Amino acid sequence: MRILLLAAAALALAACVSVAPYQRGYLARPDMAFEPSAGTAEALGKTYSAKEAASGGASVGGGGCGCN
Amino acid sequence: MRRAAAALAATIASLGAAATHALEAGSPLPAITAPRLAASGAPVSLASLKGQVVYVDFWASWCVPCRLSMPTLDAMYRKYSSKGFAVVGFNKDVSNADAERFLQRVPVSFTLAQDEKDAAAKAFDVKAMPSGYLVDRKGVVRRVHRGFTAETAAELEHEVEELLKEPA
Amino acid sequence: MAATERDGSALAGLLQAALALPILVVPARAGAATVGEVGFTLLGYKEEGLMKVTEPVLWGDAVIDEKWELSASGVIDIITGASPQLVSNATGKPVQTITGASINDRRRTYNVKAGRRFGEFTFSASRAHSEEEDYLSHAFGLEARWDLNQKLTTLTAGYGKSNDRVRSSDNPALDEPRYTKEYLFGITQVLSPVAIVQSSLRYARGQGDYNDPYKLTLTFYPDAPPAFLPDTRPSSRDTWAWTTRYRRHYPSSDATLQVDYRYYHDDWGIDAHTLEGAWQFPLAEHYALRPALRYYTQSAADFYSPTIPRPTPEILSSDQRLAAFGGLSPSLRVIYRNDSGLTVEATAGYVYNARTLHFGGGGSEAFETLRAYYGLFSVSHAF
Repeated sequence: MRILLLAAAALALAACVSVAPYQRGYLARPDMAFEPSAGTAEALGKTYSAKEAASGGASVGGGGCGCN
Repeated sequence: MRRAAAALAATIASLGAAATHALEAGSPLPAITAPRLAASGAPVSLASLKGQVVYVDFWASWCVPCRLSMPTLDAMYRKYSSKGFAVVGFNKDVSNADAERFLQRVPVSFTLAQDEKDAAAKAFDVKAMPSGYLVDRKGVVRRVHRGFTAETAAELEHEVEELLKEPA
Repeated sequence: MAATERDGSALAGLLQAALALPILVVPARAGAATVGEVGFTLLGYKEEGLMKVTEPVLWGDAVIDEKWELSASGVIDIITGASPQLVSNATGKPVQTITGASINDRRRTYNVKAGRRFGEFTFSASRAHSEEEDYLSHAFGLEARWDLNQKLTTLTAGYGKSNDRVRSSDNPALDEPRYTKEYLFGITQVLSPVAIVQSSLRYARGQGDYNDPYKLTLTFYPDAPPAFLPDTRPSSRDTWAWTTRYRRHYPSSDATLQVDYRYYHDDWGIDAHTLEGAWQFPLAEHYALRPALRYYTQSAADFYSPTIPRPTPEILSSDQRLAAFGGLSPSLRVIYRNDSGLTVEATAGYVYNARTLHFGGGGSEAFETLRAYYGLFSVSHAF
């Protein structure tokens, strides 16, 4: 019963995620960004994709190859 | 069991609290008292500012447009403070050290306050960063600015000038 | 900065190109209303006995008056060494052999992107150009972003198109087209004051020449004359990439967990999974350390074979990038960040790709283990 209630509480919280605009200090940290930095992402992405069959990330319109 | 039920009740209560309607133009200035940021002295009391035109601003070091709003507000404060214009900046950083680092780069001369437990942010129902509430001499919110651009700066200066002309 | 001495002309060219980009001249004029970052990244890559790449990347981005978003980057890859070109079973089992002269290739790339915010919506357009002796690429992209729910949720949709030309430094007559169209849908969701997740699906349909002009297969048979086949692949490729990224900050330890996962699928028969986890924590005031581990696994393309079967198939590639294998790549990054907006990052990484690391076993027998090291150095300044 206790577990059920806790689960219900957790669900209620998850369903109504509410993070006020003034509570986003942690989210604005550089280490919370999805890309480390444009240069690092670009250089590492090319390094891996030259050795692997898979490619493509979370953006469109990039330049091709550099396949050697 | 009782604790779990209490947790659920608290959850529901907090969800209900989040649904309070926004503080818009026409609302009275909430009577908030808060400790000063980066300065000693008596706590900041919004009620004591009645009779002046007040701009209550919510800012943080991580808020990008605040890099424009803070120096703009400081310039406006220096220009109009002698005519009865006050600015109170509530800081929303997670640590005072972050706020102080920002202030070293962007020093301001107006009053700064801490907002422990989000009391002021909740009372003003802050919906964007930064948010500014322009209050007339009678203590009534006349204009809410959410976000900050060069246009906001121009509009705000005009509004401050107009409100300063109104009698207390 | 070693690249400056070794390849001054390339770097000078890059700087010249960068100055032509709008990004670097913007901050001086727009004043306090502009926020952004400019940076410089240098990558050194060393593969055992094979090649060395030094890659200066110059990049910058800016948001002007909360309305305009601009970003640009310029890259020069300098590749020296040699790449395996022939897969032959002359010695009994198929192995990669390096043939011909060593490669001395230079790749120049630039990307520019400009966006305009209209309240909750942002529309942007991008242009990318990439040029090397044997490959030319022109691409453009359109993207729409919608911030809703007080910016707790962001939806992204994108369309991209690229027109490429495949060439060869061995064969001046080769000049074949390759066209690709891309579609992207993404969602970013704030989960709590310390957690955020992003998930996006990218579909691309490409048509044209996918053959690698440098790759050849030579097969000896016990009972027949040897067969020799250039790399021949399908003339189209449909790819799907589903990327999910998660960030979680732990205020009590001031540390952040970063997890990225990508599932990739294409109609060549390749399924690939990439999982990367990193933990960034403070070392001292201004310093942070970021150990990371990346795991990659892929299945082989349907037409991958290190030897030519009989009868000779219409499509066949012995390129080991199309084989079944897996890879582990640990890396360590030191980050220095001071209060005036300067960030310096140094990363050391190791890449180990092997047949045995294929998820669930069953990697391609002919896959030759790859061991590579890289060093990455990056300086950026936020303004």
